[in-house]
Amino acid sequence: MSDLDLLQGTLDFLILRTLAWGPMHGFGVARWIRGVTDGTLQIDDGALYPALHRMEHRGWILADWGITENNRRAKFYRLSAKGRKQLQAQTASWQRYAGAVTQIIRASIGTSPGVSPDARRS
Amino acid sequence: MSRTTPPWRRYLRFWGPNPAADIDDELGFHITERTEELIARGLTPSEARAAAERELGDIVRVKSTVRALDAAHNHRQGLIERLEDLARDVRYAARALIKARTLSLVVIVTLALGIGVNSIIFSIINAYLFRPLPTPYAGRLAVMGTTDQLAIGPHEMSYPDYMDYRAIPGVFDDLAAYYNNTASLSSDGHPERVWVDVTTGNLFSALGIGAALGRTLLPTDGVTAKPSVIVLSYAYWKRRFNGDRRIVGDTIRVDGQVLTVVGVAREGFRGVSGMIQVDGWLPLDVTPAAGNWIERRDQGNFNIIGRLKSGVSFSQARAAVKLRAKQLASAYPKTNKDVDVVLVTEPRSRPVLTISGPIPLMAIVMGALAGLVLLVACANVASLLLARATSRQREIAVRAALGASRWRLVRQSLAESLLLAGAGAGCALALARWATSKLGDIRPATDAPVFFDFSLDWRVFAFTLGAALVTAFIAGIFPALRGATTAPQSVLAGGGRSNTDRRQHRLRGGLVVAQVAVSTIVLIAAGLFARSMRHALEMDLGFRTEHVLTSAIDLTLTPGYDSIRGKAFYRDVVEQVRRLPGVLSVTMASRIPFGYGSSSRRVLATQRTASIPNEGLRIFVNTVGLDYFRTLGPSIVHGRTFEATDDENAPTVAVVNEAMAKRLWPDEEALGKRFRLAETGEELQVIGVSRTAQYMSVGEEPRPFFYISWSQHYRPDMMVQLHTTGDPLALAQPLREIVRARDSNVPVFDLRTMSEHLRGGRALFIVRMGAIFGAAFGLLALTLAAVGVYGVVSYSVSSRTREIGIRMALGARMGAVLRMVVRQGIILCAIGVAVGIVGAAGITRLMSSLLYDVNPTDPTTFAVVAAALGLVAFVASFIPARRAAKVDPSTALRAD
Repeated sequence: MSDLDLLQGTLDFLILRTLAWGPMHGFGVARWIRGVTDGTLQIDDGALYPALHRMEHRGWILADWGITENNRRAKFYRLSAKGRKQLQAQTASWQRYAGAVTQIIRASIGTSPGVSPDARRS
Repeated sequence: MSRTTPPWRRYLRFWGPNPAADIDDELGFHITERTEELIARGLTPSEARAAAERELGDIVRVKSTVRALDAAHNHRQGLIERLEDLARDVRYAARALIKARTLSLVVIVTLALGIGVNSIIFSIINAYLFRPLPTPYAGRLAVMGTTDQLAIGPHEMSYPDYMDYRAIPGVFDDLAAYYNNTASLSSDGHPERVWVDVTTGNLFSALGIGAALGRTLLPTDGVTAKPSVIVLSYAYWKRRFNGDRRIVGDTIRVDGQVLTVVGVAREGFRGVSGMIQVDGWLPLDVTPAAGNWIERRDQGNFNIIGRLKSGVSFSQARAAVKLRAKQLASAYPKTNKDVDVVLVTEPRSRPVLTISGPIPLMAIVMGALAGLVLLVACANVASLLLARATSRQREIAVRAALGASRWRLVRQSLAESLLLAGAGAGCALALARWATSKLGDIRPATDAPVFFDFSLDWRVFAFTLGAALVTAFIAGIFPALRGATTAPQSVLAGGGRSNTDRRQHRLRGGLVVAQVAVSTIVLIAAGLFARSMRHALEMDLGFRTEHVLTSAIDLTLTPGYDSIRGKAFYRDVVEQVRRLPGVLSVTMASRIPFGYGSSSRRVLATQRTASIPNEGLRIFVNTVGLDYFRTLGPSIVHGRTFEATDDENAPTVAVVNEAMAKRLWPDEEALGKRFRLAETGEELQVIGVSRTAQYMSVGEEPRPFFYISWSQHYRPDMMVQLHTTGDPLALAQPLREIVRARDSNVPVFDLRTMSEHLRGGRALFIVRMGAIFGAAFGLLALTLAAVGVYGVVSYSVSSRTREIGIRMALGARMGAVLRMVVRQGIILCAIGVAVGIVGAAGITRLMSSLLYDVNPTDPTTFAVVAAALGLVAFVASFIPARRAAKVDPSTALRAD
């Protein structure tokens, strides 16, 4: 699964999720995603910035220039109210999706192909 | 949060936020941090940096993607903000204008008139020069005609010449030839005179015009077999046959021939020659049996229209046909020597090629005059808005003090003038719609079914919109700048009357001067047109114009008239009309002076004495009856006129005019000399010489002309003309009755007085248009100038109430106050008139070719206009002056 293709929506979700911890610069977001997913999700760092800017234009996240602990100037992103709502909505839909996928995986063990678990139960 | 931008980067942000620099910084930060992280994990600095950059992928692409995203976003944001601003400006402006209702109304009416005349003029120009024929090929249609030394304008072409031009390779997709004709069309036994085009069968395919019903003419019509078909025009089909679809396949009789109706042309196609409404199209018979005219190069009868090949420009086509004209001249010197060809775009040939020459200049002059009227209206509106800006100084100063930017205030003010101009343009369009439909109803008293379609189309709307925008800008910019450049402190501190007040007064004075100057120019142009019209009407045309009734009879419309019965018919009618009370004399002629139709013959020499070139001379001719010169003139200077003895058995004779006598026999007595007609070979002997009159256009150069006797050259279609003692129209009914009594199937057409014919016909077309519109423009300009002067003087009186009160309190007499105020108005007007006269002297020169017998710097016109404006200025300042003189000092001194 190392070369998992990231859908646009997945990246947006990851960024929103990351920023839920608090304001962070682009590099921070990249580092956090790398850390949390243990490198499973190989994100091209270059893909991150267009996504950040796009989300800023949509009003999901806000940006300000600030100073890092190393005293460097960096652009910090944080969630807006709209972004928070977006995160909730996406979390819910990802959970539904993950649930469905889990069910499919579970059902496929010891089941003849073509018959859904629901169909067998009824 | 503070910013620590590297110093060398600052310049990037000098003009505000710099997104590009921000992206560089953002990615730079990412690489720096990641590099440090990787160094901490043990990589060498260069390895670490390389890895960090690799992880980012294609940095250049990332940057450009982000930059493009940002740019698109900023663009959207900017648009939204601007729209919101605009909506706010418009809302605010609308509220302000509704509050000042009277002023808004005056401004809108002024603009409606100013823009309205422009829309009207433009819709006329549009019909003449811009609106295309209803075909997809409109931009590629070319009209051709020939010129020679004789005719003033381009004229029709001969069939062999046409075929030669048509054969030029690589120029035309198709070239058609046609001529207009009247015909008697009968269906169910009811004859009716109609106007038809007789055309080569390829006319419709050349123009790309389809059929509404059935088919149009085909290129084979008239070529392979004797034609027996007709295509009706949509309008005629609707009118005569009630739009009955079963007409296709039916037969009708046209000039006695039985023809099958094969179709109806598409709606909106009224015929090719611009403004003549055609009822039907007949194929031209070019079968070998058609007659020898197919080979006659000396008979120019055809109008030529064609479609250029795609990619061929008009100048290329022109060069090609001119070259062909030269080749024809050397190949056929007898007929084509000195014959050249003209090729113009189809709109440029309207209304008909022969008289289309001065149309563009006329359009420019009329357009310019209308534009000047609009300028005057703008000046008035600007002046009104300035006055309003002054009364709102305080409000504007408060807004400026509260931080509204200067641009914002200017925009606000422009939004108001835009709204006003928009409302004005709306009213102007309504006005133009009304006026153009009235103009379109005019059916000029001519010998052709001329129609005017000046209806508004998108071009007129676009033009009006443009005019409104320009107007809003011109009328709004002064008040806007004025309001915005006023220093708020001075207004808020003082009571209002200040320096700015005086400055603004000067500005309004300047506007009035400009306005009077422009009005002067318009009035002078109008005056020149009016004088020109009067001169043209009073000009000695060489024939009788008063107390003459003219009418047309066409025996081809009634079956059964050969030349013997026809001659008897006309003789009887003329004899009975002569005996009517109130008739001094009566005659007949085939042509009427200044009519749309003309005839000419190629004249050859029979004696060596005549100075006629070998190939002959084309000379205009009229076939006339007895008493022609007594009834209509021109007078005979030598010899005699036609007499009853000059009948078909006598030697053929002619009366020539002095110009022809001088041209053919320069040093000799013309009487008794002979010449030959190339077409028939007949020899004519000159029995009389008449004065040279004017025949085709007013003020034309002396033109050779001759008359032949109807008794010797029978024609079935003649105009019966009466010289009467009293009102000519009183004899219209008796004339009709005589004709009806003789044969109730013979209709009488075109009954009108000669002066009616002259006014409506092509003779005075240009002058009349000039005089009518000139008068309207002049009146409008004069009114607007009067309002302008009145406005400025009365405003100045009201703002000087206190000063005038003090003067009166100190003993100034009423007369002195009156003089003081009136003088102000007169001085402004005098400066304006002076400027205007100088301008007019330069501008009217352009009009000289549109004027008859009037000098473009005619001193009388200039003087009258100056005096008229002076009078208007006097009245316009006298009214407020009287108000000023009645000021009660005690009230005035208490006033603010």
